[in-house]
Amino acid sequence: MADDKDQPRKKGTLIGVGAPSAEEIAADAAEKAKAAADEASASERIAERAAREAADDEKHVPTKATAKAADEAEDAAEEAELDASAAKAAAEVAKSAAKKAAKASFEGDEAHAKEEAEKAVAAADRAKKAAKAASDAKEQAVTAQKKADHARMTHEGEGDEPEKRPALYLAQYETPEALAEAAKKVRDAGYEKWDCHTPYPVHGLDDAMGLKPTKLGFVSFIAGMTGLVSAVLMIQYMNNWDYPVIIGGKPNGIGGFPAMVPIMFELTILLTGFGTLFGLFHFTKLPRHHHPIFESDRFEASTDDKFFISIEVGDEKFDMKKTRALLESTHPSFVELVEEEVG
Amino acid sequence: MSAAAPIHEIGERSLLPEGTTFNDITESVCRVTETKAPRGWWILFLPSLGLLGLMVACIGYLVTMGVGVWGNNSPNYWAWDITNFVWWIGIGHAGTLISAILFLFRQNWRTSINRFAEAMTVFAVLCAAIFPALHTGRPWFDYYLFPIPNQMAMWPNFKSPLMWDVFAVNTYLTISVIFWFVGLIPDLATLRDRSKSLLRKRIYGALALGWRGSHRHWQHYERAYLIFAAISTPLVLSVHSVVSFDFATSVMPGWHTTIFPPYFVAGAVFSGFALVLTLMLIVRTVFGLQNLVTLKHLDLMNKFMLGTGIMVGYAYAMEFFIAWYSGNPYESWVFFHNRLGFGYLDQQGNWGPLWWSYWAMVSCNVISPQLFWFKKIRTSIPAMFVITIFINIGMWFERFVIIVTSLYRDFLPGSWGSFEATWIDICLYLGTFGLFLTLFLLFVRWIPMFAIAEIKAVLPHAHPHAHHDDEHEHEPHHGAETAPAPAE
Repeated sequence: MADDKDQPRKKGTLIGVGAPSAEEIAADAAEKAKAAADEASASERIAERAAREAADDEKHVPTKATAKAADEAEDAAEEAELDASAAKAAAEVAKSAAKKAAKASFEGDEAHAKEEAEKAVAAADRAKKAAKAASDAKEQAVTAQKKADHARMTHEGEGDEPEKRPALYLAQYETPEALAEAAKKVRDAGYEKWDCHTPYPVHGLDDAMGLKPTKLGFVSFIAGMTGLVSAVLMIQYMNNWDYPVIIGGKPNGIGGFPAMVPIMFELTILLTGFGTLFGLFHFTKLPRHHHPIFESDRFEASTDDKFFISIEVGDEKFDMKKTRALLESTHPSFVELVEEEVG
Repeated sequence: MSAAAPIHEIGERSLLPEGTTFNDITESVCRVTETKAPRGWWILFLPSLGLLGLMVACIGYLVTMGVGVWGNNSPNYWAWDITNFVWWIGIGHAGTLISAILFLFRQNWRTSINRFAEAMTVFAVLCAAIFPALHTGRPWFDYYLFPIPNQMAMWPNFKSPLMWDVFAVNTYLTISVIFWFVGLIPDLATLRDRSKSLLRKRIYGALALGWRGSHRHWQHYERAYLIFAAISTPLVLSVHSVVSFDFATSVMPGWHTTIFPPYFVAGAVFSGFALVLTLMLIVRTVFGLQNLVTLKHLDLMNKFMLGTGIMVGYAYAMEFFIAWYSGNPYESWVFFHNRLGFGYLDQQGNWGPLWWSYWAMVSCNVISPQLFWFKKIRTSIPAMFVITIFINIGMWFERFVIIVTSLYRDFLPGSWGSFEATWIDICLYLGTFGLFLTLFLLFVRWIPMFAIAEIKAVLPHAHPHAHHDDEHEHEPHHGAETAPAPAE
């Protein structure tokens, strides 16, 4: 740029010989600015198309990854648009400066012509810069669109950092006493979807957490009675109705009751056992091998010697700030926001 | 709760050394599965594997040749096969007793031995099941034992005690496995969380079912545990009662006795405790777990053996009394000739030829545990090791005495016989030790052999309330040596 400025100063007086006049310089700058503006608007168009395609991908496969890529592409397209309009404006300025320079040159006002030529050159520079920015934005839009494509094809966020969203707050305590105290506070604050995690069953936590008694016993009882009844029905069907077996002249029906007792008893026990096992699975919703709480490395100590309280995002009262403040008021050794992967 | 806190005024001490932390327990139990097996483990494992091979070979030979390769004969239709069955089933009973009955009685010291004993129950029942399955003669028809429709359009006879046995033993095995597994879930989660390698994490993780120590889960879990204990208690009493019905409902002198069910249950617990202790002493030494199974635990187990040993002794005496008091000559004959030897002599003036088995039983089962009256013996590891082995031998002889010495000389002298074991009897019995020990050694190596979560729960500082109780108890004499364990 310094060269461009210096040259007309040194050789401006020699009209038409070797060195360009201010008029020529201005015209040249205006041309360059126009070219830059054209390029910028081309970038803009490409970026816009990329953004449209990315949005299309998102519409077809609405995953987090495609949404993210589409957003990126849209942002880049907007930027390209701004840059392109800046380039156009600069080109306009350069054009009018070139006209003024030509007029001044015609009128013989060489100094004014030079001034205008400089303006034109500066405007052309701005236009070039804007075009460059537009081109960068275009590149971004295209990259984003490719990402969206890829995400659409693989149905997942590729290679880059997995998407995360907050799942729960985890507070750690060192002693069961501290845990029980904290549990009472969380209970009194009215939370529902929260839990204590302990290496062994800590007594008194039922009350501290405000839990209702378990109904597992009902399930076991019903299962046990089913066992009892099915034993009677089985024996009666098999040994009395379907194929009567008379051993030692002993009766098969109700008179043979004592002989049925051992198997009635065993089947009662057997089905109570199964009922209890599957009832336990039902109430605890186990087996469940994935849970966001396992994202926390600190949580590994929950099966060793540390005590935890977790409050889930899904709770109605959950609030990123208030919940944290509540947990911090219970003197935990750590409070941690556990995030789960999505998509 | 406060049951976990020792009452110092009456001389109680903590079950585990004072100041044991939660982490100490996790470390010492998990370490066994995470480090290389000590040499002692291999020294036990390789011979066990060899014995397991022997068992497989024996079963192959037996199935090929038929049950005639056993020493069973007429009149000894049952012999080692059912002896071994009853013996192994009895071994298992200690596990359920420790895990269920002692749980209901809030005996916290059980936590150090229950996992171990429960595993033994499962493996012992597996060993036991082999014998009745084989003694049917054609084991490939064993499905007749179950009420499934078959080509004969016949159902099992549910009035038969043998059929009750099928249900009792299978229920026992199933419930024991479930109880054991439910108890394991939290501890498998501990192993999962400590796992360094992905493979371990996957395997223990899958087995732990995604356990996350949630108190909402513990609440149901504790209830489930209570229910399992509550159903296992009558179950374990029923299983050996039903086994004893196999004998007691018959008309054989020596078998036809009402004392059999409680007598069998007491004997089962007696022998089970003995084998638990034998193995515990070995494992405790091999893996260096003296802090978890302390002399106090061993002392308590020895007291149990003394108690059940006396019960068994009482049953032996009462059988003799009834044999004499009933005035039934066949009953008296079985007891005074077949078993005791010298009470009645046969026409040639001979003792009952198997008298020695009766005396082996009495000296091992009744006399040797009397040494446990002495605290010195109860707390001496070599002494208790030897006595437990005697008890195991004695309890095997008890079943042999009941079965063979009742059968070999019964009502008619014309149908008398005798019994001699064949090499396949011996090898098959030894082989089941291979199965048992192989499973057992794999268990101690890969599964937490102590109930980690349960031991933690009985530490003095485990529960918020226990801590307060402690403070009250210690008010009169604070500054005593036995200060409450430090709150972590």
